[in-house]
Amino acid sequence: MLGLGVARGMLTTLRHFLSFNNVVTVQYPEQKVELPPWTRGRPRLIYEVDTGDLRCTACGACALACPVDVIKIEQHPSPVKGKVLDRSTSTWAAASSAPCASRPARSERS
Amino acid sequence: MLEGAAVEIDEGLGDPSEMTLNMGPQHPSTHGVFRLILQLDGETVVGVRPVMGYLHRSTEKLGEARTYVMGVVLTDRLDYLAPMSNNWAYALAVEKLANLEVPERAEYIRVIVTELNRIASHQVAIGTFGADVGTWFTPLVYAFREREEILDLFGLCAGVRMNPSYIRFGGVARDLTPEFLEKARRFIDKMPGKIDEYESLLTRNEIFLGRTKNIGMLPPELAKEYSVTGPIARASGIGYDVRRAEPYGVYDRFDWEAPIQYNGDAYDRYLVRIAEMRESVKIVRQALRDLPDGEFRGRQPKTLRPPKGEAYARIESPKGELGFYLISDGSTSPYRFKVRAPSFINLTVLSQLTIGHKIADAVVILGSFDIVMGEVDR
Amino acid sequence: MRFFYDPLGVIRDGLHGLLVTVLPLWLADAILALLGVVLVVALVPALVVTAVYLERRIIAKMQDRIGPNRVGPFGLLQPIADVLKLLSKEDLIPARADRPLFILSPILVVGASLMVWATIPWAPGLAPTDLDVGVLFIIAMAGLPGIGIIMAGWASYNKYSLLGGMRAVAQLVSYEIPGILGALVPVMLAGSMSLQEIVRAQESLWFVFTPWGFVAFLLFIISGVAESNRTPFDLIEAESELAAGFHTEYSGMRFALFFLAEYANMFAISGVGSILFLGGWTFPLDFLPIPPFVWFIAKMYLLVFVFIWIRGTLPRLRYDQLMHFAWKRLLPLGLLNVGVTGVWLGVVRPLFVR
Repeated sequence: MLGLGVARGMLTTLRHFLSFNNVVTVQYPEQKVELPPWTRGRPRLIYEVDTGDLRCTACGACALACPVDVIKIEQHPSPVKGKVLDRSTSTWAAASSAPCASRPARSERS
Repeated sequence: MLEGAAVEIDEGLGDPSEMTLNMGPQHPSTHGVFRLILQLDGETVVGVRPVMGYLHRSTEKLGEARTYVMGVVLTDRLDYLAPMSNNWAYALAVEKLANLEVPERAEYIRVIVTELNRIASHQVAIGTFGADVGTWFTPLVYAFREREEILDLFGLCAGVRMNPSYIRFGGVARDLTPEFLEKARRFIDKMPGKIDEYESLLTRNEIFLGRTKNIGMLPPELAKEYSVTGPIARASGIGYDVRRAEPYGVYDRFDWEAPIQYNGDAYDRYLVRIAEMRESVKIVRQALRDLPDGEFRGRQPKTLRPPKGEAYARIESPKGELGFYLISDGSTSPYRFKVRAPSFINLTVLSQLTIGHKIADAVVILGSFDIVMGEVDR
Repeated sequence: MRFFYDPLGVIRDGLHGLLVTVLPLWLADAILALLGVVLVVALVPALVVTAVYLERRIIAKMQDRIGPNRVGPFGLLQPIADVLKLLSKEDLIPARADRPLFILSPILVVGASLMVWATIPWAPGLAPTDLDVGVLFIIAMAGLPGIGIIMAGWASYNKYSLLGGMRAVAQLVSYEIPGILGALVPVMLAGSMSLQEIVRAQESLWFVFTPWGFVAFLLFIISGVAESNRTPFDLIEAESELAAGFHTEYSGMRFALFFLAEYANMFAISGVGSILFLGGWTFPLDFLPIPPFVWFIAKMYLLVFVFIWIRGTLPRLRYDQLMHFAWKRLLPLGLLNVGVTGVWLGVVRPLFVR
């Protein structure tokens, strides 16, 4: 009968409308999604496996590149010649609302 | 900028009663930055000229400059809606070149992940097809609701939702966690019901049928002439599926069908995609059940220097036959990194199909082709 | 006591009595009519504002999401934000556009949409005016926006707008006829074109529950969806279509006026539909102290919900399919329906009435 297909579709949407807890969206920033620890979406510092030192050389490229300006590099020249140690921290300012979801990782320095 | 198949458009001449309409690169329904110049007589399309190249990022040239490992990242960005397929095709090509072994567990993981990504890609196809036809995004939102779950699964296994670079040559990048397996099982169990939901909105809807039946009929001879592959070819009656024709991985161990329709119109392409989603659900269920233990990545040298030679590997991506042709000259980077992109090849037949239809149908036909500009332009 | 059952009626009668003591009768009536007009003109945009909000929330709920909930509590101030956004846009008139027509057309369209409300009764005796030919008036006013639309298309000096305008008018005209045939059935069943009479005739049974009334109701609603250019008949203003609509060149407040007219039309059709078919302000539960205008507004919003529901679900009809549907399917059905109603009224019913 003409109109049954249309009626089927309308019934589906009506069922969705009348159901109680069918909302699948997450109200960010009040609710956040739990990401696994090996997420690659979060910028963070890496340590050398054997020595435990930071791989970061404090070149400042990340701070320059950041479109939202949440990275601040503080460094000072190191006693070892030529190498500049990343002494201070890269601070994730306004981290919870930055669009790249960069937030202080619990295990790393922040 | 690459000019597409220029069919029957007279430069400068032309009937004054004909109107040239530019469906510009920025348009809600061109599925990416794609430009379509239409010549219209009233409301009927008489000439079509597709213009591509707006998303060209010199993937192939970059592939030559980078090493084989770095090349994986480039492949993600080709068909960004189905990244695992691209990774697998590249991995197959490199494995052929360098004779690498892939452990069995890795093969099963590859199948699981690739079939999930086939479901995800078809969800985008169906959702945007519904949006092109005019439903105010309801099928799109329903399809994306499930796609979000698939992307979360990718995030669980690879670390990133989009551009996962998960399937590497020799196996996969990381092992699957029990959390992933649990989530994937639950997802697969509820998927058939969700596919029924998408169908209830579209498949028997009279208005949808009126908009898509007999629109963009592709005769099988024409499809063969233009090397059209994938769901588009299967909708026209050509039963060619690389997973059946030249099985790679462990596809020959599962019980599934390659759906086929015979009319070749936009509605059939939609039906084939829905059926393929159901088949993918079957495959994933079987793979999850039969997943063996073992290594997730085979042994491989620290720097990969394949012997001189060439290899062509193809797989069935959700868009069609995706092929990678690699020529190695013995160094760490390929000498030639060529991608046979299915969307690009399928697009060549677009102008033939659109001529004779109305403008509103041009959008529908383009939607039924399900192209991704990342592949078309590379 | 009556106050609880019909507060607005009590107020109106009280005002009338008050005015009659100091003014002649015709002046009192005129002032009350004027008051009615002012209220309607103030109220309809308020209804439109609620519709804008409701549409987004209802469609969102159907799509498993929430919809606007940031602007104000539960997103209630979202329409205000939308209106402010539209007001703050640059008022652009194309250089070669026909200025007087360009400026006049949104006013004409909105004016016509508002005129329909002149005869719609919200409660017994509560309408700005009650014409004996109410239905005819409404049909005439519903056809008036067509002129405004073609003016807009022409004045924009844009071939796509002109095409869009012509197609919109063709669609309007084509779908008026099934709508008229649908509206004809309650007129026949009630024996009068006055809207108040039609509601009174439904005190025992709403017309929608009769088979021919039901078919007429469907025809009326489908034609109403087409008249207000809503999905599935919104090819004219669809985003994914290539030729833009007649209101492309309009921005800011002028565009807001077209928008307002579309929603006001939707409400008017819902209102008229609930009067003609759903019994207006009547409701079986008479003993409850609920004023009649509440039932009317409830029914009107129910039909608005149906409009929004249809919009959220169905795909768009292509233009030729649209015309085919109106002329080859709805029109014969409407004529057949009127014929059946006539047979019932003239032949079958007298057999039962002694």
